[in-house]
Amino acid sequence: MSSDIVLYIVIATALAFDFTNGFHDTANAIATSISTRAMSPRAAVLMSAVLNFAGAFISLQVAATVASGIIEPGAITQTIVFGGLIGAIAWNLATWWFGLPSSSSHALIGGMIGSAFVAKGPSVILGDGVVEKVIIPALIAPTLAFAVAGTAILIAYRLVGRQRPGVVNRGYRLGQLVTGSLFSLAHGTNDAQKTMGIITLALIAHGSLPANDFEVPTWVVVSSASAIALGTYSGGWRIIRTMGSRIIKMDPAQGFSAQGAGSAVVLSASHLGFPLSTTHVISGGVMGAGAAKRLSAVRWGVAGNIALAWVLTLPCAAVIGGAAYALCSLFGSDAVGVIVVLLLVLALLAAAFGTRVRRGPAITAEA
Amino acid sequence: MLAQIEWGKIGQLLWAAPVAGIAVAITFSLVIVGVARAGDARRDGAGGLAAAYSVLTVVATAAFAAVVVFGVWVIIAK
Repeated sequence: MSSDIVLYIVIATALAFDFTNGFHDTANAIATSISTRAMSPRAAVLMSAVLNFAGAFISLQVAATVASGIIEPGAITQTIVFGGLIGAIAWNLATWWFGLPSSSSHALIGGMIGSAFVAKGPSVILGDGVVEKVIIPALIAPTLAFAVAGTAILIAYRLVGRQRPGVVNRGYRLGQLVTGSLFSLAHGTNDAQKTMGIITLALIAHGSLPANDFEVPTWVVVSSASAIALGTYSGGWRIIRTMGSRIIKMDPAQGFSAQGAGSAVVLSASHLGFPLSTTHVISGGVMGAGAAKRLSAVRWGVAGNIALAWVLTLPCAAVIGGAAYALCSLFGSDAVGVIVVLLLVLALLAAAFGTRVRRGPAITAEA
Repeated sequence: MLAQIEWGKIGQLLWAAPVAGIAVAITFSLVIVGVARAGDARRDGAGGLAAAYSVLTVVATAAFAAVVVFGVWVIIAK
């Protein structure tokens, strides 16, 4: 009975994480399209939500491999996963609050590391995996996207420089429909699988699925796809505003170059089996498309804040995940600790959003 | 620790991503150039030039579509 309750709570928390993942990352695919008026905000989030939903069904190479290669697989328990999810959700909400794009995957990995560290000690953390799957991709993704988008915009300006601006802008806006769609589809495929992996892992730990030769249940796929699509449709407007207009003031050619370069980098990396954070890639692409036109076009203060958030993602999510696990374990090994932490988190969220509702919305879709 | 890292994949990524990104930029920019110049040539009564730019538009559109289809294939074939 106790194990059933923990399972239900882990599943609900995983879907909540999936939702935050969706609205946190909406900006990655559509911020540039909205900023250059290639699409209206509502049409853009709807398109992205539908493609994220579809993307979740494309590949079921899920696997119960949450934090695989980063934490000893045998050490992971349902409570560790729960602590990790709390760390990731908390960091996603904090960065969303400040309008800072940061990687949901790195937040989840950080949360899991912190939770596992507190539960089992440092020996279950695989340092090589952290370097290979977190640190190196975090260095490569924005740098590569910056260089590719910068080169792409210089080529684009060179090729279309003598054409009438009306034709050029209309053309690149159309192109953004394609690149934005590709980005959304790739995001749905990558990110919904994280949640499917977590739920599958919880089901295996609970004994509801065999450890070997299992199939991901259809309800897991449908619920994960729905949660990320709903999150995407909710639109993380604070981050959309940062990505779309606070880093650079972009024209349609820059928007297309950032998205096109971003899609190329994400899909090339995916093809080579070296997944990169879509957030890091598109942020680097936007900065590159701005800097290539004029270095001072990039608001480096905003870019610095974003980079700081990236650096802090892993340790902060780890601290929160570790604290969540520690709090759970204070109440023993059964479901009581998990329930107490869940209620505490819900109370904190209600207090934070209650305050926001009383003050009125800070940012709207049109802002 | 550094020996564990798959440097080969990173090396491939460092040339494959720029090639793909620049291909996207060039092909789609050529579509725009083709459409714009074909329209101008038609207005100027230069039928031959308009046809040549129309061909450029078709070829560039096909190339751009091929890059996009490859991108979708990468997503599906994961």
